[in-house]
Amino acid sequence: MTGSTPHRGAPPHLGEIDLLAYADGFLDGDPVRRKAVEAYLETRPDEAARLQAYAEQNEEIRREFAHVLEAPVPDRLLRLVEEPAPRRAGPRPVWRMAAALALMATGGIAGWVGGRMVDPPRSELAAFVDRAVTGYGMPADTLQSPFTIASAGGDLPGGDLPGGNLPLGWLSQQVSVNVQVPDLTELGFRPVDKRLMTSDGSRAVRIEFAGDGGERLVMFLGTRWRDGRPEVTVVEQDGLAVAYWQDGPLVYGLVSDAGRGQVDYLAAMVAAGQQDAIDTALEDGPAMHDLQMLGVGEHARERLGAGDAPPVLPDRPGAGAIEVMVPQHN
Amino acid sequence: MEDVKWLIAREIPHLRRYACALAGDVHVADDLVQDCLERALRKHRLWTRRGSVRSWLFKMLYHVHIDHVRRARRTLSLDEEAIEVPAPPNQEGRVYCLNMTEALKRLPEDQRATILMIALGGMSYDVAADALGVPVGTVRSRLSRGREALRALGVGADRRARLQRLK
Repeated sequence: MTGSTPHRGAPPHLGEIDLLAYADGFLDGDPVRRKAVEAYLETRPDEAARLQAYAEQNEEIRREFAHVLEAPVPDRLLRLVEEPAPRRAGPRPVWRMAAALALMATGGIAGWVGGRMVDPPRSELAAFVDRAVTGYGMPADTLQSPFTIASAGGDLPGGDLPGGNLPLGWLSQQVSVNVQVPDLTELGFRPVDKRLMTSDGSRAVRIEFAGDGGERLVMFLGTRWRDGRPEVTVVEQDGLAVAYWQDGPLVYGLVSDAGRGQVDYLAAMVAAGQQDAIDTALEDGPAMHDLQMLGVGEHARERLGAGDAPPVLPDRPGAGAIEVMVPQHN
Repeated sequence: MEDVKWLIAREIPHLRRYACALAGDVHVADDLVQDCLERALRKHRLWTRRGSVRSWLFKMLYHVHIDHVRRARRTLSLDEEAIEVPAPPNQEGRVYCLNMTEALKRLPEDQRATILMIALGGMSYDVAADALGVPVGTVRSRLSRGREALRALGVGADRRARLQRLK
């Protein structure tokens, strides 16, 4: 118990936390303890001066920043809570991401900027980009059968998918994260097709969006453990712009013929939104344990029956070459 | 939702004050508060009434701040950062006294955040510990170390005493 930690000759029943609590006024509701501290301080002027200084610091801090409390709240902050929330908030994240992208432009596909991934798995990422570009143009009948959307009721292919954060039941089963199809309707894209894709022994979810102006946008998701905030990299290949990033256990690829600028922008939007969804899932508690357990190979493969899935090594960033662990689909 | 929004709106001045003290700059502070509010509004369903809206928001603001700091200085080690020792009294014999804003900037992030959560958030040690994601014992040691550092930097009661001695 921290409260019993002796400090500077205090009697055994008083500790530093009692002295701090006295300075902070937290003993006002406990007169017995407060009196004990006061008795202790009577013979120790240095300690009394120290606690007096601490109390004065609190007051000085409040004085120093009182003007902020009294100042009118800027409109931009008030608007956030007083107006109906837009689907996504404010333009600032875009500019932040744009700045990050600008930084990464020099890094290109060679690695992740920021020094976190010392030995970038260049070939894996390059392969992911290749697969994304290949999958973009892949005709529907060469893909595996479409899977149903859990609880969204959309039958594929052909029918319109309902817009807006559809649960991705299939992927969710693999990683126990509440992954959702990003809602791009306000950005002029609606989901039209969602499939499981296999290529070179690895699997990914492929989601196709149609733009209002006839553009086609295809998003890929595979699993791959990685900590930290997503950093989006954009490359151009075969006339298509590819944005890719890793977020928690997932690696994302976004491919389109809509132009590099558009892909930059969309990737920033999706990354910001999905980060939030994953944060939420992790904060909800049990999902995190499931996630880690499922992320570590053996259990997952036993449970899922995906015997050929490569092992997942979440403690070795860069070496954790996981692709999606998927039960065979029939 | 509207009730939660109302509660959140009432906390904005407190969030701004905490952010301003944390970041040492009112413009940065408002950016932090904006990020915090955006997160809060996206996640308001996660506020489960286990604690106060204020402690929930302060916790979120602290995380936004830490993210901000980490982005700015990716290699920062929040617990190991050394305190800058103030310059010794100059040749004219004046005591080196910082104002509180400057003094707070010299503290390591974790100590500053803890001291401010108590002084400005009005939080008890257990609530502050939860918001900061550390044990109560860590709150205690951060308070002791941080406040001693502030004393050494010449803020608090000692400062007044020293100023009086100069007269």
